[in-house]
Amino acid sequence: MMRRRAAVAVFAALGLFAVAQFGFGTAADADARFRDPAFADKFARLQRVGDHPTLMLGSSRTLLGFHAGRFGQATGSPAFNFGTPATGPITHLVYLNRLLDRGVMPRMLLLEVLPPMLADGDGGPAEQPFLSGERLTGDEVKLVEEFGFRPDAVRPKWRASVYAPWYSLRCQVIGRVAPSWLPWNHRYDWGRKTDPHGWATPPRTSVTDAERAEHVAKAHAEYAATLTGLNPDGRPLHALRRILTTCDQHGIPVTMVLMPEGSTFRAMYPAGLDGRIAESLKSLGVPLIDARGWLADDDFYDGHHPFTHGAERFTDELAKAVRGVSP
Amino acid sequence: MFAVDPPPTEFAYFRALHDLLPEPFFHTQAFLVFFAAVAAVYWLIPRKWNLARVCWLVLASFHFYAAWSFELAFLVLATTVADYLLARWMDATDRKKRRLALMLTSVGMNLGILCYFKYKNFFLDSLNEALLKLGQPAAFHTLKVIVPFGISFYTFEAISYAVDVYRRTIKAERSLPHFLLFILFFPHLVAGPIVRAGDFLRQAHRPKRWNWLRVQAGVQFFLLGVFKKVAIADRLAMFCDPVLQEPDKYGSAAVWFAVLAYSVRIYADFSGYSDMAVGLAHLLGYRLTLNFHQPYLAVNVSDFWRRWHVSLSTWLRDYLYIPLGGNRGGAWATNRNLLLTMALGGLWHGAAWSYVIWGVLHGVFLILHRQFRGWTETKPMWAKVLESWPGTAARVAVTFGCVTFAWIFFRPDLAGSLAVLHRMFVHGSGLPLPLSNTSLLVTVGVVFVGMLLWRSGAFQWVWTRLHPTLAGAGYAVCLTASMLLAPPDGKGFIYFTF
Repeated sequence: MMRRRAAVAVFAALGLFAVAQFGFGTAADADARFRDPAFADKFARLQRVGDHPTLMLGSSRTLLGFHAGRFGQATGSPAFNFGTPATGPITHLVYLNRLLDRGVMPRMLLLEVLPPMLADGDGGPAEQPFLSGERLTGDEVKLVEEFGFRPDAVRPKWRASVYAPWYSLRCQVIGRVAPSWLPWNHRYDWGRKTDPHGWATPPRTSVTDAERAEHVAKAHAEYAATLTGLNPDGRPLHALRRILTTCDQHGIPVTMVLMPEGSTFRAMYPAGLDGRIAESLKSLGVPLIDARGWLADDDFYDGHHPFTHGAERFTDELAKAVRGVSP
Repeated sequence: MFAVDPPPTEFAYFRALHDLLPEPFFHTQAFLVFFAAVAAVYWLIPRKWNLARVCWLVLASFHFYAAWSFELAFLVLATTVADYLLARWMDATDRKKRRLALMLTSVGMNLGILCYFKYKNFFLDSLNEALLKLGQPAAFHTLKVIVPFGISFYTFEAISYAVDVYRRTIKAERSLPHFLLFILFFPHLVAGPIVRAGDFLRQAHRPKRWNWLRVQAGVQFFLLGVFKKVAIADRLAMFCDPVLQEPDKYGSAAVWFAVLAYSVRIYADFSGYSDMAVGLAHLLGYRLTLNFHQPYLAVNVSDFWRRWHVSLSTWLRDYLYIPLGGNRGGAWATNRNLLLTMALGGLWHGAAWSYVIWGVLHGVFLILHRQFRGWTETKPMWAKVLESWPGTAARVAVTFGCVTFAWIFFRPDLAGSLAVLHRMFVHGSGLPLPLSNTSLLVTVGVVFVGMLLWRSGAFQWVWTRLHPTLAGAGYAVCLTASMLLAPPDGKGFIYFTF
């Protein structure tokens, strides 16, 4: 009798564990909040902004720098900031596809081009470490592999999210129910800390010279090597091209934007790289707004992420520039 | 994960093995696949072919070790064979001097290997530092030596075997495969529990039947171990690791919290590993010593050592403290023996002076407790107060405080330990804890509530009356919670470095 009870307990454990994994895996496929809260939370806000907004896809520079509410007032039509940290053209393509699948039809797409994210190499595109496999669906895994993501980097994590989602998606779940239990960079809560138009207030209001120097040095350590060996014609550029083709098919006008950078950051670009990037982007055949020199060094806290006043100044200038390039 | 990982081997077979099982950790997917394959074949071998089952486990254990470093796996194999032969020879002779010489050869070989791999650089560094202090240049060159994992555990098992055979407490094992399994059995090979030959070999010779009760016990222990390791220990590491590495950057309050987190982390990490080892052994039909009995509910330091790393503390008692004279030579000799045993116990944990200090601190606590106990025996009122409920709670708190204080030295970096102490007792402002204090206190609270429930018997009472389906649901929830609460980055086992 005791042995029978023990056998029942063991089999029940196995069965219920499998059910828990399968159940959550199914839920994760059905609801993007479980797989990619960074996207889902922004999408939830976007739905409240209204139909056909001007949409800006970009990285943390966009997230902190594009004051979409202000932009909307200046241009007279709603705008939304879909900036997400550590993203580049391939992630933007994934996000654009998701938005279109969900029926979002922007009036205009402002597309940030973050030059370091154009980097490509044998190890994969620069954004590969950030767009982890568990954030993607099976079809999206195939898509990112098409643009150079290494299968051995992206597939195991995606696979793990299918058969062990409670482990694989733990940061997404804990980041929602108890964010303070995780380090800030694993919380996936960027999309929940924005204003109704998706703009995140910059975390700092001022910095001392020493703090700025420290932040700039950190940015240098993060980007200098990438920029030194950067070939802007790699697979991320193909992803940009795919975004433009997709938008063209849906009749969405696109303007690319090079976001503002401080003089210390711009000094990291090796000689000639500016020209090559500009040439590559011009070859795509859509308007390009080069805003790299729009802000002063004091407008940034680390050479490329602006303070609030920097974001406001950039947004005002962008509104004027967009009016200039709008068809 | 290890201080020095072995270089990649030239042999394709072992290189492939390493790729399949890169870390000797029990809570990894690769290990679970390995274990499932080993257990499946093991139970498919007919019961009457017990020797074949033993040989299969020896083969699996060798591969488990060789996946990390096949050269060192052969070293362990070779010394185990040598221990086997020396013991057989010892058993075969009645000449006392020869028996003594053989026992000393076996013990010397094991201690020699332990000293060479683990302590050589420590002694040479200490000598060099002493020479520098005397104004002389450093005269000894240290070598980059890969410390075989689990070396402190299996050498102690081999030493106790040689001594037991010499004392004629047990007979020398006649079967080489059985003896190899005693040392190499993979659930206890890496970090114990330190098993005794008499207990283990008796089990190895007994043919085993598949038993669902045992399987349930194994699953239960394993899942409890995974939860302790992943959801508690690794989570607490997020609080204590950054703070203890750079205490000067953090405020004093953060350092106090980090020390608390470290104390509970060490318990959850090591007892979690031990529970997993016990669980895996159960699944193969073996019973290993339970290494922990709610140690942080101990009412004094002596009680703590009856509950903490039981297989080591009993080993030190039987093979060091008692041979040194134990408590048979009066107060002074007893205190000396305690201090010596604990200092060597500290050194066993790691080749650094900080571990020696940790051991000495425990020796001092044990001596103080002996004195205090002697004093209270003459004061019945005091004894009554201490036995009361609040008195017991106070004793538990004081013991936990002493043990936690000593843990500050339980790391290889003595200067770092002193910096932590300085930050704790000299108030300074700085960064807060890396994560919210609430999550730390909840995690620590779960550990203490768990211990109290276990100690009171409430857990066992509920568990034995629970419908088996609900028990199964409990296991599934335990594993799912472990997965969910695992921190973003995995951590190694603290005791694997010993």
